[in-house]
Amino acid sequence: MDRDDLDLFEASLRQATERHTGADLDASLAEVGWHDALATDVRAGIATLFTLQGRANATSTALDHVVLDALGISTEHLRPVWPPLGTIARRPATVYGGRVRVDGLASRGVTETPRVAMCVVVASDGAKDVATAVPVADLALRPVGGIDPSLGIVEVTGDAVATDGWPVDWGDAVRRCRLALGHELVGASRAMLDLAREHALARVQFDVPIASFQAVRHRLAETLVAIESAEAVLDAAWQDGSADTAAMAKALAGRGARTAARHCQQVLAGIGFTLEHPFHRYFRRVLVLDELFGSARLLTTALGDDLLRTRRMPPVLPL
Amino acid sequence: MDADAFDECRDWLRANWDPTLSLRDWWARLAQSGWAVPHFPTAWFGRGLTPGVAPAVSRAIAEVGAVPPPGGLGRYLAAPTVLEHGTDEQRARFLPGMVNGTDAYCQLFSEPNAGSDLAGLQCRAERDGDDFVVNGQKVWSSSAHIANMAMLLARTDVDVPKHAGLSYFVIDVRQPGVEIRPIREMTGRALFNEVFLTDARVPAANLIGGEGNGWAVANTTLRHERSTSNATSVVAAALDPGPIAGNLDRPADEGDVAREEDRSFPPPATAAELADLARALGRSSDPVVRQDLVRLHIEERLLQLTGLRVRAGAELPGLPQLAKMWTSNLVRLSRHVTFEVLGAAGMAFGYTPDDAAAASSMTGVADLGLLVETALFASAPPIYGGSDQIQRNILGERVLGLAREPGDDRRVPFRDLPKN
Repeated sequence: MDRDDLDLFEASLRQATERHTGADLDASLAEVGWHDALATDVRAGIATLFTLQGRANATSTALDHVVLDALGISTEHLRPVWPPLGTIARRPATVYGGRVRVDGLASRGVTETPRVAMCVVVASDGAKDVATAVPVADLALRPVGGIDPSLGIVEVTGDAVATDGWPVDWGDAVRRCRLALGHELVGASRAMLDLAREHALARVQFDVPIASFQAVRHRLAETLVAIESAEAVLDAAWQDGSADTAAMAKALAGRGARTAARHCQQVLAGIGFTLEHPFHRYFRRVLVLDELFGSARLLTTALGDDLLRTRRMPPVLPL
Repeated sequence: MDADAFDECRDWLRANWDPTLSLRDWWARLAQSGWAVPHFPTAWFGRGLTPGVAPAVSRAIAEVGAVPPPGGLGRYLAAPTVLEHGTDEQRARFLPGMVNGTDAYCQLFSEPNAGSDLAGLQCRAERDGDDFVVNGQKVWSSSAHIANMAMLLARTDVDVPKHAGLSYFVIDVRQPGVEIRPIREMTGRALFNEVFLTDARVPAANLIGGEGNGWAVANTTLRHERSTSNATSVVAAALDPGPIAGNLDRPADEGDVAREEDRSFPPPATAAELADLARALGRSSDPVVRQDLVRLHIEERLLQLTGLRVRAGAELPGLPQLAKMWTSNLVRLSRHVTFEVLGAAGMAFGYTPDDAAAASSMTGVADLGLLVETALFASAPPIYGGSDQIQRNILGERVLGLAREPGDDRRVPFRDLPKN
């Protein structure tokens, strides 16, 4: 996309994410041609939408389409199963003796039966990754309420007959999802910073806006540093295309979002602790987004383990 | 001395604790004995002991299995304030209800536009004959929904600098001019309230510490709120006093410890509890978890050791501020370690009662719901009771003798200051 196309694309996605969420946002994404954009310019498709979705605290099933697109699947009647919670990006299925055992997460899209009748799960057959379709009817679906019920994620478990699989690039799907989630975390962090900044400018205590106190200014400045750090590594990850850099970017975005939440909540103080103020929605959202496809903590540990094993720093863009 | 107090208190409890008494009668008996506020003078419901005996008394109460003295803010904050600043007539009128739990108190200090800058509050109290008439809005009043009385800080003079125009009252909040509404917090609970005062009346005889002296009196209340007892006392487990909570006329050992939804703050998990949990979940060999457990243990010990120093007579400048910040750190660190141990499951389970029950049976972790509640609640202590930033400013100015930040609020009349 050239600059003008990108601006237009961003403007229509901004409108969509600010006005709609959930199934309405899915419909709106189809209208503005987001799926086509994803297929033609994966970076523009992912970075633009997920940043805006994070900013607006909106939800959609767009992450499913990121996975399907990476796996080379174009039907909209399939939903992918994501890695289970608490793992770095474990394949959500194992194949054994002609059967497939499923343990993972999915978007609320998986509950849209009968339109969505099949799930696609990825397992390793030892040498390569293989995708298999499993009927939703054979799986147990449990809504994960958790700390952010509005995200609508579902725990998917079950055991089914394995049908013929086809080879896929799971690593690339994970890489793209980490970038998408990294952008969503950055978008949410920017929204928290906006809320705190506006409050700091408007709130008068000790006869001046609290923005004039260093204790407040420094917190907001630290938040900006955390956000721009994550943004810089996301940019690097798109440029070098490596899985390691994408993992670092998501780790930094997850950690940055916690930093943003801590500082912004302290600046918002009492009003930010109420249910009526929007802050808590972002706080809940970033805590769960950090856990998907590998948390900052797990990713950092894994990158450190790699470093020790290979005794080689991953090259992040030659300077 | 602690050992003496413990023995003496235990002996008294053994002779006097009677679960068949109504709570009203038990608390009255406890108040008469002096063991409800042992650090008060003997003339005013106390035994003339030091504040340091509190843990010994708590241990004695626990050993005998007696119901502890009233919870809430009356005995804990209002009573020491009235004791220090009230006249003998006011002490005689207010202390009994505070100490024996027949009255329940809340604080009417913070306002929507006066949080960190408490002295900038705008609620007015204007003289009208023998009364003051109060108009304004208060916020973050914990327990106001079960209070019949309040400690009120209001502005009686707008023509002097802001700290000089405040006065402190004891006010009846069950009157037509007072409306109390719960605030729903991000945790889903309603621990706090908004309080609207519209032509509410309070007798001039209820003015504590004299007109225009409210800032000094309020600081006494705040000093008690921020003291170490905040972090280490049994306040959370005590029964709610006052006519509205409904405990007074039940048998002493059958009182409700508040309803689930608005009971007290969830206690942070201790290092020992989290170490057990880490072992149960197979997380105790993770070096990061181990280090964090030890950090938490050290923070807990720091608070306990500081308590011991104070009991031994150490004078620590800035103790209330230090205690408050240690408590904030402890709660946040406890949350951090809790989620390090629970992992992603801590984010995914336990946020509704059904969910918590299911997750507890799956993981074998009892009280998972209470544990995960700290995910959202741990942000509160650094904000309430005077934010940690305000505590740092107080330490800087009053203990380290650093210059105040520039400002006009010590000399410009309140009416001329910029406001929200």
